[in-house]
Amino acid sequence: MSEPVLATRGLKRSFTQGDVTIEVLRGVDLEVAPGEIVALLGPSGSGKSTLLQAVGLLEGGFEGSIRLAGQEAAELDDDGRTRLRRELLGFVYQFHHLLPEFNALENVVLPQLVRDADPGAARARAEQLLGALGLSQRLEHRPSKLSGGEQQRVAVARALANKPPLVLADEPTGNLDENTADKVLAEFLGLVRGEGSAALVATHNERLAAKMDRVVRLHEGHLD
Amino acid sequence: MNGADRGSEPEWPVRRGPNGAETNTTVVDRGGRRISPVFIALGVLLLLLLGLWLFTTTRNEDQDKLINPSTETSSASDPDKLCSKKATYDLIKRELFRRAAQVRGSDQAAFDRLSSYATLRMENPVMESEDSGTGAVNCSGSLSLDLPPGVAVVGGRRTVSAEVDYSVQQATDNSGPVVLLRNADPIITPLATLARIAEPAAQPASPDANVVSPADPLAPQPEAQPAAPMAPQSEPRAVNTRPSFDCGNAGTRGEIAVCSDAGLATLDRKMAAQFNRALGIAGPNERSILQRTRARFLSYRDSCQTNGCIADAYRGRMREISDIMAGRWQPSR
Repeated sequence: MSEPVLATRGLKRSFTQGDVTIEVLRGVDLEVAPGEIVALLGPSGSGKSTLLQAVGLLEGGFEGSIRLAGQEAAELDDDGRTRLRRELLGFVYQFHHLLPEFNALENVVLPQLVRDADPGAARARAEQLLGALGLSQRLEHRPSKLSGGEQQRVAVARALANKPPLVLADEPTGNLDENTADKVLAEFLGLVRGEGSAALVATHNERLAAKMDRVVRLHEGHLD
Repeated sequence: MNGADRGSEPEWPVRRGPNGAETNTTVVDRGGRRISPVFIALGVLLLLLLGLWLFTTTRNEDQDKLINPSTETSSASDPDKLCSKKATYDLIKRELFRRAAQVRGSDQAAFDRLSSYATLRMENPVMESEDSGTGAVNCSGSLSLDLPPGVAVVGGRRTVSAEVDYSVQQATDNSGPVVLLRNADPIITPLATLARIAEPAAQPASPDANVVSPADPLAPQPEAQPAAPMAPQSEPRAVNTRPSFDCGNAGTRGEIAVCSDAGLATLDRKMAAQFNRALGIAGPNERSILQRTRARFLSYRDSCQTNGCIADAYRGRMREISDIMAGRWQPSR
């Protein structure tokens, strides 16, 4: 069996508010195999986003082990964690977080140029991804000129632009109506599978979770 | 001098001139009495001693030192000026390039070098709050970063802009002020794509050019090369106590309060500028939300009983506009 693209062991995170300490993650053990799409299911406030923040190396303050493609995050300094994020991960959030001053094409080209891609190749890749998501006629549109579903499709293309081994998605369709959410999720999953990437997708929606390869449930700080 | 005022002979020796006339070294007080030069000299001496004592007891021992603007410390007496100091802008600019280099994962030295050639402009810098515990001064403003010739970010752009929040405070090791940036990703992320671009043939520099830009700032440069002068950065605008609207037509409680307070007027101008900028690039959905939420904001502002409440309303509205344009706005807010 190939090495997991993501493995956590005993992952813990607590927050202190005044005299109260809230243990959000109480020792999470999780593995995601290459190419596997895993739904992280749990109600609002169960710690799904906190877990994604941890494995995305976006925040500190965690206990336990996080290994991305075999590399232990705790052994890396800031620059090392940034490099790991850049090379291994793609992110999709509930809100698109596209750069408002750049058009759809530029938003997808941008992460590739950060990785020193050839500008022509980066543009071709962006056009291919946006085309696959039905946005060929929207390349020059700024995010504010796109609908909610279109904005989220651009965000999906941006996350996959560098062919990351692992995509982390936090309620990627949570801001869309049900019909649009179903379409965008289907396109997202199709694209992730087509690219051969793995994905960890946080959702509170059982119906959407059922469309993925495996479902893990976050309950009282543990995975059931 | 009227001789009739003298009355009688003086009680003290009078210096006389060669012709026997009194010299003008004798002073006559308002009561007509003459004051001895010796007393005058003693008085002057006393004044000198008093002045010397005041000078030595009230002066700051550092006041004659030349202070490097980059090491100026937070002025507890006027923290809002910290938001618009050139030294603060320099720190912000360096931090932007440092983080962009970190995202890029290479070329730290080139990014550091470029930082000196780029120009930072901050419109409407405003102090949001001050943390009495840490001494941090929290500010916000509309930041634009102009890149030097020869380099550009994605799309060939040489200017990137964003509404940013920043805090200025002393470093924990007391080594000087440090800046913490928030909401700066719309600048940092494109900045990480920095690349050389082809430029038209360089024109001869005008004799009075005061800014030197290298043909290729990313190219390695010898250590001994003198640093290019820092391009001028925007300082806070001249004090303008007028809000964005005509105070002659002020009618609501909120409008009257804004017209009566320079700080609120500044917030009003800043919010109005952000609102108009947002309207200029908004799509139909954002435009609708911007307009719809505007009425609610004005209604809330006009219900405020204190200037602090009005200031908070403006700050909240500016955050709301940012959220609307970034797709983060939710109706429940």
